[in-house]
Formats: sequence, structure tokens, C-alpha cells
Amino acid sequence: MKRLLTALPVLIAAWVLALPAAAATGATASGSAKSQQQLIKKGEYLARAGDCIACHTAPGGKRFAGGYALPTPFGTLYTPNITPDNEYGIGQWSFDDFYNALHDGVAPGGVLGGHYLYPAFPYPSYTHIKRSDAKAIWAYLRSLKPVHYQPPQNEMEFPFNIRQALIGWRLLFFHPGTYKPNPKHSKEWNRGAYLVQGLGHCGACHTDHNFLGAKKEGDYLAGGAIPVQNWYAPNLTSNQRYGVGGWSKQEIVQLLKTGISAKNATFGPMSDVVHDSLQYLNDKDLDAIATYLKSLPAKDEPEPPDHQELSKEQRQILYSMGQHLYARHCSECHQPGGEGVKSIYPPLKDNGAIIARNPVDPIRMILQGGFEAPTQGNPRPFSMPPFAQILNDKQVAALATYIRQSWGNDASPVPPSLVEKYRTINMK
Amino acid sequence: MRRIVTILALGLLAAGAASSALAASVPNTLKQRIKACTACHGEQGGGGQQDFYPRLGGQHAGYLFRQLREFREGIRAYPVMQYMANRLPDDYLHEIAQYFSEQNPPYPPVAQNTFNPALIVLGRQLTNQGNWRTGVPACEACHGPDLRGTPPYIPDLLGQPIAYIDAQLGGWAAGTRGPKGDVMRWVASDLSQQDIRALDAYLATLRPPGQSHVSLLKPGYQQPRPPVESRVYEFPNGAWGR
Repeated sequence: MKRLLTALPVLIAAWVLALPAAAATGATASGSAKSQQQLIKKGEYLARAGDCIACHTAPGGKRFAGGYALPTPFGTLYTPNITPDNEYGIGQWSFDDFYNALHDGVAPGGVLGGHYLYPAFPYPSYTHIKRSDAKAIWAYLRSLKPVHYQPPQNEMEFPFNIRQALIGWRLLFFHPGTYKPNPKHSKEWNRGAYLVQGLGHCGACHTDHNFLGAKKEGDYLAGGAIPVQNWYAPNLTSNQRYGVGGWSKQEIVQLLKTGISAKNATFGPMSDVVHDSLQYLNDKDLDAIATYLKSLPAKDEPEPPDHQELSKEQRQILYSMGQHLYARHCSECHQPGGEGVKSIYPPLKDNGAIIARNPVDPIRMILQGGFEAPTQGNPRPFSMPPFAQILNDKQVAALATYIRQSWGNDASPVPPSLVEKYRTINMK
Repeated sequence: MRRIVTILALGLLAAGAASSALAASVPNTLKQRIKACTACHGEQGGGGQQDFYPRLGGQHAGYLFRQLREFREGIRAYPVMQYMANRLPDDYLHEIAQYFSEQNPPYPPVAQNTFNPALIVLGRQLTNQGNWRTGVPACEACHGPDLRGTPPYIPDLLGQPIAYIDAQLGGWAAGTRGPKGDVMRWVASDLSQQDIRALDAYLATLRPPGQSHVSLLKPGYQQPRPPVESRVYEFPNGAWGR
């Protein structure tokens, strides 16, 4: 009894003391719930900017559950599940684990043991992401519904299946470091540079790669062949001929937002990027990206690897054959003068993607056609018919040659053998 | 009257504004937008009888929409169509499906085929009665006695090119068409090679009443020999050259 009597004041004291504390926690809890919501929203936006969904979602699969087959020159990778599932996703990860993956390209230890990530995951770009932004993305990913799904095992060829081999690659080509604002430039420029170099990982395609799949930094955004997918990502520097030198900022913003502008329409993988990512960015960020791109000093295009010389006679035959075919199949939409129809059918005249040194884009567009990117700003896109079913290799080469050499375009002719190469590849 | 004139004038103005928003050189129509589709399937979705391209005109819109969505999601595998439907929004796919469902292109004449008549007989038997031994149900059971399908999802079977029918039956059997559990998957996997060839041959000859170009469907048609099941199944593999 005596014990109880002593205990009572203590209990009361404890209760009294606990009251304000409890009230305080309650207040922070609701306050933090609100800021947590804001953080998640910010993270969702940034995850869009990083286009995580494109690779971490399989066709017809659950969002962010991975399993998307990513073909590389070194074998096929299956993207991991990044929903917070404890067994197959990142449910067991801490924020630091996540940050290390983004910033250093290292997956956490545990049962599997820590391991180096393949740079198909664009951590050489994501390393520029600010820690505070990574926190927001993390909060967003943690807020997703866990998906209990195990993506297939990677099918990498020897020796690329040995992740330790990446040590050498990292030493040579990986430079970790958060983006450092350049005080010589405006806030807007720096925001654009941050988005382009970091989350946007534009250089992953628009910069040429060496034989080990690393970006050639000297050719940053000067255009690049996309390995395995067999598309060419055009020059984004201020080069007047190949790049965006002749574009207004507004035209760049328009393209990124809707997939089409007066200067060009997106196609191939870029349509997916616009659909999944860029159309969701706010105008301020798109403006910032355009400001940064317009400031990039003009760089020339990298030379394409297989360059076959054609005789003068061969070129003439291709050109006149192409002229005939163009009038028959193309001029109705792209117009006899190649100027297209504004913001519906892209011009072929002065179009950096058409006259790029690497002619894969015009060849593939003639072969497979396709719809423009469906976006909020263009939900019922126009389309181009495929011609693979009615034109043979020589005819496609002739058409590509004609459009690359007319109306002031003066790019190289296209040999039929190159068409044959692209006729049989995976379309995507 | 004045009101009508005002409305008319306003309407004209609106139309003018809409067409000037787009450059004058292309019409702002769905037909113009979907040139990628009509290049192979035809403006009215007539398909190509000598080719592979299926007839879309007059097909049930629900079925067409589902196919487009399955291409988009990779549930139905065909690279050209997967590429075309990639990321197109549902509303647009509905609109495209609706467009083709409202067309009524003429049926092409039935190609003179060189099939063994017995094959046609087997095809018709499978279509009308199925095969109780192998558990294959009659096509009729779902696609209807006239094989015109049931809206929204069960397709009309008439007028498809032979190569297309063949590829679909093969696709279901191989699991490259339709979601898991799709009834056509197990139907097709229970078909023998002969069954598939027989169905190809028979279905490709069918036309709606009044459009029939072959005598096979006409009343009073005499079968070359009675459909003796055992005899039909004795035909050796590889005897069905095209």
C-alpha cells in the first residue's frame, strides 16, 4: 500500500509531464503529415523529371515494379522493382541506401551483398541530384503501393555478368558529385543545367558513347547513336545545322511539352520520354531547360561508324528515284518544298534529325512511320504510314537520299545496304 | 430567321477559326490522323485479301479497342502494331476502333484456293460442331451461327485473309496472343495442324449472305464426300500445301 502511495504521485507527475509532450507530438505529427505530403508531391514531380517510370515499368506491368527488358550491347538487363515491397522491391532499404544507389551507383548490402550497379541505370547523371531532391523522390517511392513481383534475372554475357568488373569502368568513366551551380550564370540557367545533366539524363542518349558504353564527355549533347535501340539522338547544342541553334526557346519548350513544334516532332524513344516525363514539367522548368540548351556552344556531329562511299552515278540514280517517290508518297503531307505542315507534319528541310551525319532516323521513319507522341497537348496525334511493306531497300535509300539532299539540305546519300540493316531490327 | 442567320454566321466563324488553327493543307479529320493505320488496313478498313492485313471495317468496336489495348500493353505480340499503339491513350484508341467499326468496305472475292475439298469439309465441321474427342468447341458456340460475333468483344469472323486467320490460330496456340486464360488460347492449343489448316481454308471462304462468291455456302451444295471423321484425320501432315 505504501508502495502504491509513493508510486501514485510519480505516476501523476509523469502523466502531467507527458501531457504537453503528447500535445506537442500531436501538433508536429499533423504538421509533418502535411509537409510529408508536400515532400511526396515534390518527389513525384522529380521522379517524372527523372523518367524513372519508363525503365522501371514493364509493358502492361504495374508501375515502378520493374521487369522491363533493357537490351544493352553486353546483354539484357531487367530493371528492378522500386516499389516498397519488402521481398522484391526496396522495402528494406534506408534513405542512405537509396542515395548511394543514385549518387554512387552502389546497391545496399544485406543478404545479396552490396554490389555495383550497371550504368544502364543512369547514375553517372543521377549523381548530380541534390540530396534534398533525392529525399523527396525517396518519400514518393516509399508512398507507392508495394508490388510483390520479382523481375526476371539479368542475362548479361561474360565477362559483363561479373559486377566487380565495373570497378575499372567506374575508375575510368564515373565522376560522382552533386551538381555545383555555376555563379557566372543565372538561376534559371543553373536550374536548366541541373535538370538536363542530372535527372533528365539527356546525355545518356544525346551524347555519343565509346565502345564500353561511356559517354564521350567532349561531345556532350552533340548527338549520339543509341546503342541496340538503333536510333540516333540528334545534336542539342547551338549548332545551326544539326542542333537547336535555329530554334527559338519557345519552340524547344513546345516540343518538350507536346511532342511537336514548328521545327520538328519527336519520334522513337524521345516520344516515350515526352510522354512519360517531359510533358509533366512546369513551364518554368521547361524554360530553364531551353535556356540551358540554347547556351551550349555549337559542336559538330560525331562521325557515324559505317560510312559507305557511293559513286556519283549511284548517287544520281538514288536521287532521281527518290524525287519520283517523294512526289508520290510524301509530298502530300511534308509538302513539295519539304516545309511540312506547321506543328502537324514536321519539316524535312533544315531538320537536324534528317540531315544528321548518322542517317538512321530518316531511314527508320520511312520504314516504320508511326504516331507522334500522344500528350496532354496533343492527345489525338497525327501519324505517318510505314513504308517497309511497299518499298524495297533501294527505294527507301532513294527517298532518304532525296530528302537529305533537297531544299538546301546537303547531307550524305544513303546506301541501300544500310536500309537492309535497319529493316530487320527490333522496331521499338 | 435572324437568329438562325446569326447562329449560322457564328458556326461559320468557328469553323473558320478551327481550320485556320491547323494549316490549310491537311484536313483535321480522324482519317487524316490515322494514315499509319489505313496504309495497310485501307481507308475503310477493308484489309488485304491477298496479304496479311486483317479486315477491320464493320468489326465490333469493343473488340477492336481491346486488340489495340492488348497491342499497347504487349499482351498481343505483333511488333508493327505494338509500335503503332505504343502509349496511345484509351480515348484515342476508342475513337479509332469506333471509326473502323462504322465502315462497310466491300468484301473482296474469295481467292481461288487449291485446298483439298476434304479440308473445307473438316473446317466446316469444326466451325459448326467442334470436335468432342479433342474437346474443341464449335466456333459457332461463341461467334454465333452466322459467325458474325457478339458485341462488344467476340469478333466477326467473316472476310479475313487466310494468312491472317492462320497466324492468329498459331498465335493463340503459341501464347503470343491474348491474356492468360483467354478461351481462344486453350481452343487453339487443342487444334491439330490439320485442324488449323482446315479452319483457315474454310473461314477464308466465308462471306455474308448475298456476298458469297463461292458455291460452298449456297444451299444445295453437294459435299464431295461425306464428312467421315476418321478419314479426315488420316490425312498425312504436310499434305496441305498452299
